Amino acid sequence: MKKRCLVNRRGYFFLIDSVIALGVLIVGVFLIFSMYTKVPSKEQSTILSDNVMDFFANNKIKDVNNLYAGLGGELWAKEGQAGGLCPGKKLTQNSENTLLQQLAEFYEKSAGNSCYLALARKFIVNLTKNTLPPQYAFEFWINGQLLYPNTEQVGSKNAAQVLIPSKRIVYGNVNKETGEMFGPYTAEVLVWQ
Amino acid sequence: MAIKQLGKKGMFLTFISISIIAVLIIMFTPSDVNLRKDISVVETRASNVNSYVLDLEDVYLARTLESSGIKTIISLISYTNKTRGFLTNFEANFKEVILNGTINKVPIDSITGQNIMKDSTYTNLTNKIVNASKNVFNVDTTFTINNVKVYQIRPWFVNVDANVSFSVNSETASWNKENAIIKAEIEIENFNDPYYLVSTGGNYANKIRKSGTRFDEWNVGKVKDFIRDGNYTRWENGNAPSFVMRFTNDLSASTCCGIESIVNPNNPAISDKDVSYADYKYWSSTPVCPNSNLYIVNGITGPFPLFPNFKLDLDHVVRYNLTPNAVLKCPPTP
Repeated sequence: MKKRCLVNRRGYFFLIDSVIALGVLIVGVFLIFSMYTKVPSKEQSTILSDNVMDFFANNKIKDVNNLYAGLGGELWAKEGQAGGLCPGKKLTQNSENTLLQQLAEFYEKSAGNSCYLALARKFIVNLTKNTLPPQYAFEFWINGQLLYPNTEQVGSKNAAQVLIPSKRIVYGNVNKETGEMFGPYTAEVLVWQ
Repeated sequence: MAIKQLGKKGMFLTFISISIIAVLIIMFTPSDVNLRKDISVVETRASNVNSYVLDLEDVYLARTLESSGIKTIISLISYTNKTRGFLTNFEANFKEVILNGTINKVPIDSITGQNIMKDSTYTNLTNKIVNASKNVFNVDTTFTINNVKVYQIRPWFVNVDANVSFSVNSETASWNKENAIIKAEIEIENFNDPYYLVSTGGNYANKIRKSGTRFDEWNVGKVKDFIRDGNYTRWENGNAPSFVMRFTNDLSASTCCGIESIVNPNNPAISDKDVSYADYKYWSSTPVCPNSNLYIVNGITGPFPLFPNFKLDLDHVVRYNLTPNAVLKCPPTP
């Protein structure tokens, strides 16, 4: 009788023992893995800024199907007319220009007339509409001149945990008659969350 | 007593087994200390700089060579016009201007009175990329331009080759390229013909423009348009000099690249002479009649709006398909 009681009690002990051991293991594993805290992913901002820059650097005017900036688009047809952003200015579309070169051309011309900055801004807006997730913001700079947006978002950038720039050197095509060629300029895209 | 001892042994056994399992878990759990993220950063940097180096050699150096080459040609044309003299050595002068912006060690812009070569020599343009690359990629780029050659192998283009050595150094890697040959091809259309400028003291400027008339399409009407427009044409097996030869008044036949035009008798700088009005013959031939072999052409030679005193040699009469309309002028028919 006494022996049977002893055996039954051992069973309880073993059971409780194993449950406690299991609990300790689970807590231990949980603690170990929770030590690897999740940091904001740097990769997504990097990918986005690289993507935006690649898009502008690797696509030509003739390659984009955009009602505003593409060949025969509103920019070329209307912005140089009365009521446009640069009235009286001849806006010649060079289909062989990359989008980045076109922006650099606007930047170069803005030295003589600031309407080209507004044109560059609208160019960027129309080409990047709905491309970035809404929680991300970006800025586009050429040679230290902010092209997009209107004003530098200092507060938002300072609050960002991760701010990744993508930089490229941009220069123009050669004018076959005069030999003129603008650049090299530094183009920079900043993306943050 | 036996039961208490047994119970205590059980506790210790449990504790030990938990500790062993915990140690095993910690040992085989992936550590946060790894180099993978650092490797990806280094890889990205090296990849970006590598793209920059490739772009430098394939695009930027060629494009800047073309840009400064065009400006050099414009400068030299302007120089010959200003000084009213031909160059003595086009290749040497070209090299000096494109690299240093000087001719015979004098700044060419000070002679021409124009800022064509200012900040636009090949040396200037390669220095610009040095600053840009430092800013963008934080790399140190150095260039050595070993040599520049200019030549023609096609009639409507001037070729420029630059032998350049460059190095790019970053924190992570360095690139060195020795004796890279950078090539640029410059179209000569729309340049002023220096031969016209020097021969007329700057009074007759004629832009190089290629005629669209094929060799078997010439007739009186096409020739009249050709003269009026001041265009140029190329004849296989012709005797005309090339564009580059016109800088030095070398009027020998260029087998690869000879081009010619016909001077317009209605231009005030052109006077009546008993010579062929093919451009390279007009100013170089000695007008001697009756020894010349010259023809006037009915339908072309005549008072304005035709071309007064217009004459051609037999070779050109045949080439331009004017034989049915040609009348011998020199020597005069008895």
